[in-house]
Amino acid sequence: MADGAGGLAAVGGLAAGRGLTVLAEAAWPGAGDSAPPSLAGFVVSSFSPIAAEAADRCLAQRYGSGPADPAEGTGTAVVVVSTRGDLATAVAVADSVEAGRPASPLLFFQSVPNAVVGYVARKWGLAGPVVCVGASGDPMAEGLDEAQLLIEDGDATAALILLVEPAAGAVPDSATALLVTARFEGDHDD
Amino acid sequence: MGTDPPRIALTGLSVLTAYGRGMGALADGVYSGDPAFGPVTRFPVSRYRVGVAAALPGDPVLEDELVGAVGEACGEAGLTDADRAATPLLLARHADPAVARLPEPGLATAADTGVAVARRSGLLRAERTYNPACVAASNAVATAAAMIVAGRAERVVVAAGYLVDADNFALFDAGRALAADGQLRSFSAGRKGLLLGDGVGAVVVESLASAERRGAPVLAHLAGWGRAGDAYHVCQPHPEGIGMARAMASAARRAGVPLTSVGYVNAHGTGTRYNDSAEAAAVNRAFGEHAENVPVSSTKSLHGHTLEASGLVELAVTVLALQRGKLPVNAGYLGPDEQCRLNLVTGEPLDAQPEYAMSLNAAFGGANTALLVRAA
Repeated sequence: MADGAGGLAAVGGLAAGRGLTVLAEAAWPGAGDSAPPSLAGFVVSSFSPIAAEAADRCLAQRYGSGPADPAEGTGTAVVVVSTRGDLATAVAVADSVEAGRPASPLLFFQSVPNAVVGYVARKWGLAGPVVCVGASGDPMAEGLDEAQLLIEDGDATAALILLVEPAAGAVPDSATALLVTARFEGDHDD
Repeated sequence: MGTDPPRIALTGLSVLTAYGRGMGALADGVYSGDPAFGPVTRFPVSRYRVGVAAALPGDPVLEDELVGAVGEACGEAGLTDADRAATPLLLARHADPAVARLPEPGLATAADTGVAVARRSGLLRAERTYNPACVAASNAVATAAAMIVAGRAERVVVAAGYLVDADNFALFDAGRALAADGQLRSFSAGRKGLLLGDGVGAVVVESLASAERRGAPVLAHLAGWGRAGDAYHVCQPHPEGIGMARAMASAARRAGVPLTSVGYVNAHGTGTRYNDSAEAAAVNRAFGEHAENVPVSSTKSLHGHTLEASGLVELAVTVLALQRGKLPVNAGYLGPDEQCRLNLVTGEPLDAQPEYAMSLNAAFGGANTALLVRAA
């Protein structure tokens, strides 16, 4: 994860190696965080709430109370990267199916990680491509690769990368948000 | 975005739907005009409002079907073992329901299937897995093209799969998204919602230079692709179709052609109230007056909503329409809805020879994609 000064420097290096500049970065949990935040409409799982919290903290560094300047927000993609995905929601659905109980209607939309992107994108005015990736290797590297490709491809001028990992065993919940753009802003004319 | 149109070919294509395995079965099915929906027998459905889907008999294994589809697509493309060993895989699939039932589900990763499919298919590696969302496969196809344009690969295999399962059925039933009348009536008055369908497919996306060098068959060209967000809602599309219209415009701009060149649109058309009206607004916003002329159908009304595989199954239908000169119908149509003003193909397939056709997909969170295909 990218918390701490050493982590930030490392992320900056990874981004620079891909022609990207890190505009802002934040994480959940941060100093003083304990219980996961809540997010209206999302239940059972911390996946979406921690993703939204990390995104809000990151974007607030760049845009204050928001939304983003439309000149930047319209071309900002959102890339969700997770190694394990939203396990708690998947397990809740599986448990209800196995028990013969109806699933909660709220789980219908939150079972798709794109849903929380809708919350973040509306709040901050981010209208670039929306992509969800299941990582097989280093989630940060895969997120930066995806962002680089989206920006080079021309439909995005910047990307909010959300790395979201639910707790597993002794490893606690964590979410990291990274706002990146091309290394030399204004290089891309789309 | 560069000024030169991309030169991307589709050289191998394989698909599975409830109509059967292979492009021939898909063609027979969609051109019959008879929807593939029937009672679900794969798992108990008696407790749900709806018990219908477009599913193959039995309980196919997704990884095996993906390997089969990749093998068939690579075979059609004429890829040697050495070619395959140099070709990365992009996979689109839903989270594996079996993982949620493991004693320690945290040990699995969302990319495990891709790693296994790449290994079993003799491909270079699983470059990336795109998961849960109805734009997963179309995002993967766009990424494959972007990788080729960027010079990161000269050829990429994209595979995608969704097989109707108990967990998603329960979720869509809980969300009251399934059509209670047992028909998926895209863009129609009286539409009740969507129905799920089996879908697995694979496509070989390749630089035209590489295809020509190998003497490979060119099934169609991927002339353009576009992606954009709505920035509007957690699970509803922008009612004016703003993001989808931008995705369409981007695909056409990339291809260097006006949208008036497009002679067929394979729409996302889920049969839900919100999606279909928003998508119709998007087509009208993007195409302007040409929206009155361009034939549109959603073949989800025939093969069902194949979720993460939608982008690939519907790309296959779009290629088929260009190859056969025949546009499939928008089935289940009861009559016009004022909120869905489109030139729908209804009744019988429409004979036409468009040079360009477009496949659209959308997903929760306001994700929109457009793939623009040119006839070979």
